[in-house]
Amino acid sequence: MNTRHPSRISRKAAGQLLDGVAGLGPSVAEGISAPEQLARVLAAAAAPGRPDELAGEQMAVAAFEAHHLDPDATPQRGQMIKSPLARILTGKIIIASIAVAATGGVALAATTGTFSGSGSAQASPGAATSAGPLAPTPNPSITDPFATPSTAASASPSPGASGSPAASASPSASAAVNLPKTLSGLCEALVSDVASGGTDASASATLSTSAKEKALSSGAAGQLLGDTSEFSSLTATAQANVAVPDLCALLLDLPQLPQPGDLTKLPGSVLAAVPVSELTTVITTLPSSTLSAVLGELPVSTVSSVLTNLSSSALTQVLTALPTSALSQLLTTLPSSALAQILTTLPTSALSQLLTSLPSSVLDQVLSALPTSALSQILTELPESVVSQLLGELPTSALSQLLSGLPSSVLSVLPTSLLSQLGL
Amino acid sequence: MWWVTRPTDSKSGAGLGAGPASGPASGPASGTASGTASGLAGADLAAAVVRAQRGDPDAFRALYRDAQPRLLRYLHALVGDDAEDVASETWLQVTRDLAGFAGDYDGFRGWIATIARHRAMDHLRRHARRPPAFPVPVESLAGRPAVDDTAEGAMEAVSTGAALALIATLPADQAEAVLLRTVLGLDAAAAARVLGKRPGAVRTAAHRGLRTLARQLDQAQLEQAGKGRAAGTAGGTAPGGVTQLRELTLKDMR
Repeated sequence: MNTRHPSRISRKAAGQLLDGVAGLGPSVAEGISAPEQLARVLAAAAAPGRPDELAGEQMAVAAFEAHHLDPDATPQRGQMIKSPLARILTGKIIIASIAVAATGGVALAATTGTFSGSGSAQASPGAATSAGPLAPTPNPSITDPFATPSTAASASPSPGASGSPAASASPSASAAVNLPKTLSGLCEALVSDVASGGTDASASATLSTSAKEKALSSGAAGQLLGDTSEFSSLTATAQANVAVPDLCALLLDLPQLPQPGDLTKLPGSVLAAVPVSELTTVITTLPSSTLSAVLGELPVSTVSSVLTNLSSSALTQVLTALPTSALSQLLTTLPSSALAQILTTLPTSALSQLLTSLPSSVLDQVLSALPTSALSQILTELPESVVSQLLGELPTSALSQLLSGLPSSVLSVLPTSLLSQLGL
Repeated sequence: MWWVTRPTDSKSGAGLGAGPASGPASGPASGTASGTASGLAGADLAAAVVRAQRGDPDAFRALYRDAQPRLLRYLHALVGDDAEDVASETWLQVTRDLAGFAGDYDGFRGWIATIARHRAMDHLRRHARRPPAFPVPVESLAGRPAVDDTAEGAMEAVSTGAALALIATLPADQAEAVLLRTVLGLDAAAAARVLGKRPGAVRTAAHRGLRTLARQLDQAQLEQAGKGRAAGTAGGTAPGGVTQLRELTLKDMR
């Protein structure tokens, strides 16, 4: 009886099953014998695309158009990561795409598998160049907040908008700055509306950073958001009126958030789309409760980038502000390369304090995740008393495993009491 | 980690595949569903390749809508959370090199899969990181789920994310073979060209991968059935899902 092996699948059946899922042959329903659950899983893996998977569409198309206007501007392989175009493609832009998804346009179209043809409403590349940046180019798959004339006007390439930090991408990328400029353009409009009492909407370029912060944190900003529909795409992206000031501060690259405590009200997906450089700037200004919540919302890769970009003192400030539980979670989550860089960046005193605050199980996990070189560096730099305390907490088996890979030069500086405990 | 929290929508419609066959799991109702997520059939996409080569942004957009979800899912198994970044680099290179491409839409999928794979390998080298850290939510990283849990999750919901996570538990060569065949919709020969292997090697890797997946799903199914029986004898009525699973098991035995 083969109850133990109902999952047997022949090589031929496997090929047929894969062809069926790939659309290259008859599907399982048409008579291939394959485990039903397996067929189901494979079909789910190949299910139709979802809107979040198309978040980068606008940018990819903009880059395509830019390339056909000026082929030399498209970055060569190897420069891609450093080029402004690529940075924009992979970072800030996603914010705008999320906003599109949040307002529902692409979302509906994609899940029903009926993307509207995107044709006639697109400006031709030639027209786009002569008009300068592509910002006002309407796109059929985007819903009102982005396409209405008022939005386009507030984001139009006026001196105000192009002089703002958010819009100051390099020339080769100018054609690609599309939707994000619309969102940051809305933020500019919000700021200048508040600062001028709603009378003159063109003054934001002249406002100082602190005046912008002040405008964003004032009650008038909240009132404008509630009263007019002009800013509805900002509210939709932030998912709450109270989170808009922080969202705008991030989009306008302000060094401080007007309401740091409200940062946690921004959806994690939006937070994750904020450029690392901006996160790195504001992270040291966050109160500790907000800090752990924000770090918990961000993807691990983003957290790694942010932390590894911090200076030694900023890193100390951030890590020592975290409660032990959040710190433990963070340190056990980071990839080992980032962990090594972070721990070796910390000043010895801060490192001692952090490591001794960890529960022994977490400590074991953290230390064993480190590459030998980083572990050696840490053990030799920490004061002997701290090393004794740290390693003394670990169970003998974990300790011997941890130390087994270390060079003898490192072992020789370890406390003798510890080594004798291990019989070394 | 974005895919873990989003709603499951795998039950709807035909798969990514451009051919006439719909996803086998989508039931009889989907037998009539046709077309792809982008709403374009294979012939239209072939025409889109030609138009995009001449610089038509709408044609490029159509290609992007069909291919980007495939690329992201494949790349997630290679570079985890950095899939979006690597996909963006891939499209930049596609933009630059498209004029020199010769072939139909099937060929195009194989071509961009090759580019994506090269970019992913570059990325891994640059970051000297071990592949593939498949995205897992921060909360659950401390106690990372075992394969069995993943299989169970995949079986219950059969969401796209869960299915991809399960496939990502396979050894890299098997996961890649399975993903190129299903998600990218390539035949064994085309997948072999992407991987720089012989078609026979790809068939073997995919076969092994499917065997492993089937075994894991089985295991999860038996465990669930066991739990269901235990719940039944404890005095409660067995939930409907369990009943269904037991039927499946019986069917599979035939």
